[in-house]
Amino acid sequence: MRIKRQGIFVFPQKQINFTFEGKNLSGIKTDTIASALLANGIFVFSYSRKTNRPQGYTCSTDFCTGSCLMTVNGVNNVQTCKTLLKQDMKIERNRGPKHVTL
Amino acid sequence: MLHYDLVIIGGGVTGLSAAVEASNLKMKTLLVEQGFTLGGHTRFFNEGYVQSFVRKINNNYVDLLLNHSVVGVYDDLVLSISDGNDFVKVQTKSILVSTGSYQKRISFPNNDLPNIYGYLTLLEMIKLHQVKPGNNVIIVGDEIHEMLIETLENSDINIVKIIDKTDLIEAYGDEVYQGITTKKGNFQSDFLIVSDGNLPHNEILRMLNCEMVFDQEEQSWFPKSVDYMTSIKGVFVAGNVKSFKNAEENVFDGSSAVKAIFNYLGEMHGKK
Repeated sequence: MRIKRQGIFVFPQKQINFTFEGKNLSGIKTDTIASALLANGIFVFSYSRKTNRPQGYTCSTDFCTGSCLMTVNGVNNVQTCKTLLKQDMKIERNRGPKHVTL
Repeated sequence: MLHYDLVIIGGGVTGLSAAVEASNLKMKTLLVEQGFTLGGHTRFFNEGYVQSFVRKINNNYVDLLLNHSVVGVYDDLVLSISDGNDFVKVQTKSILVSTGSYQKRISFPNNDLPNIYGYLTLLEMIKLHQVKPGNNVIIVGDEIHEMLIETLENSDINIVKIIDKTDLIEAYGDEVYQGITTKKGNFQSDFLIVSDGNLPHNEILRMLNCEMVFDQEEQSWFPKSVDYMTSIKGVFVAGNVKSFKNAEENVFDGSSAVKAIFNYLGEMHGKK
C-alpha cells in the first residue's frame, strides 16, 4: 500500500497501467516493477526452481539473490527490482522448467 | 576495447566523491554502478548529500555507466562489464573498488518466505517509492538503526515487538510470512524486518585473489592495503569495503584514494 504523508505536499503522479498474471493493476511514474507489485499487495514474486517454495522481494538492488526475476513482455528472468515500470507492461511469474524431484 | 585512466566500481557516496576528485584532477574515468540510481545506501539517509556530489561531477572527464555490473576483472586491469544485453570491455590504468556493503541476513527456519525484508530493502521501498508492505512489523536483529525506527513511525507502521536474534526459533506461514515463534511465545505481524548490520561486498577483490585479513570485531574479511593500494598492483580500495565507516569518512576516503591513484599513475607513466 502507498504511504499517505500528512502535511507534506505530494506531487500528483502520472498513473501507469499494467497487467500482472492477467489482472489489471496500476502504479505510478517513478515505480520499479517490484515496487508497483508490492504497492498492489503482491508479495510472492517467484517459486524456487528446486523446492517450489514461494520467494519474495528480499535483496533490493543489493546482493542479488534472484528471487525477483519475472517474465516481462515475454522476456524471461527480468530483474524487476531494476526495471522501471512502463505503460501496458505484461508481467507474469517465470514459468521455466523446474527440477524434478524423484 | 575502451581505454580509461581509472575505473571506479560502485556508485555509492565513496565512488561519487572519488569521481568528483577524478574530474578535478582531469583523469579519464568510468564509474560503474549496478543499480539505476547513484548514491548507494546513503540515498536512503540523506538524498541531498548525494545530489551535491552528482552535481559536481564533470561529464567531460567522467563517464557514468548505470545498470551495469562488473562480471569479470583480471589482474592486467582488464574489466568486462555487462547489463545482460550489451557487453563492454575496458582496459584501464587503475581500478578503485568502492563496492561498499550489503545487508546481513540471519539464518533461521523459513527465513526465505515472502514478506521478510532486510532493513535496507524496506528503507528503499519507503524512501524511494512510498510503498509499505503492511501496517505492523516485528524487527529481529542486533544492530537497529535509529533512522529505521524513525522512518517506520513517520509512515504509520506500528512496531509490534523488537526481538533478540538468540530468542528466535522460526518463522511460519504458508505462501506468505504470517508470524514468528520465539522462546517467549508466538507473535504475529504483517511483515518482518531483519536488521543485523552489514557485510563488505568483496567479491571483486576475491576474483582478483587479493590478500585479505579477517576482522574479529566485524566477523568479516577486509583487504590488506597500503596507501589505498591492495596487494594487486593498480587496484585500490576505499569506503566500506575497506573498513566500516560513516558517510562523511567514506567521502574523505574516496577523494584521498583518488589522490593516491593520481600519484601512483604519475610515478608509473610519467607526470601529466
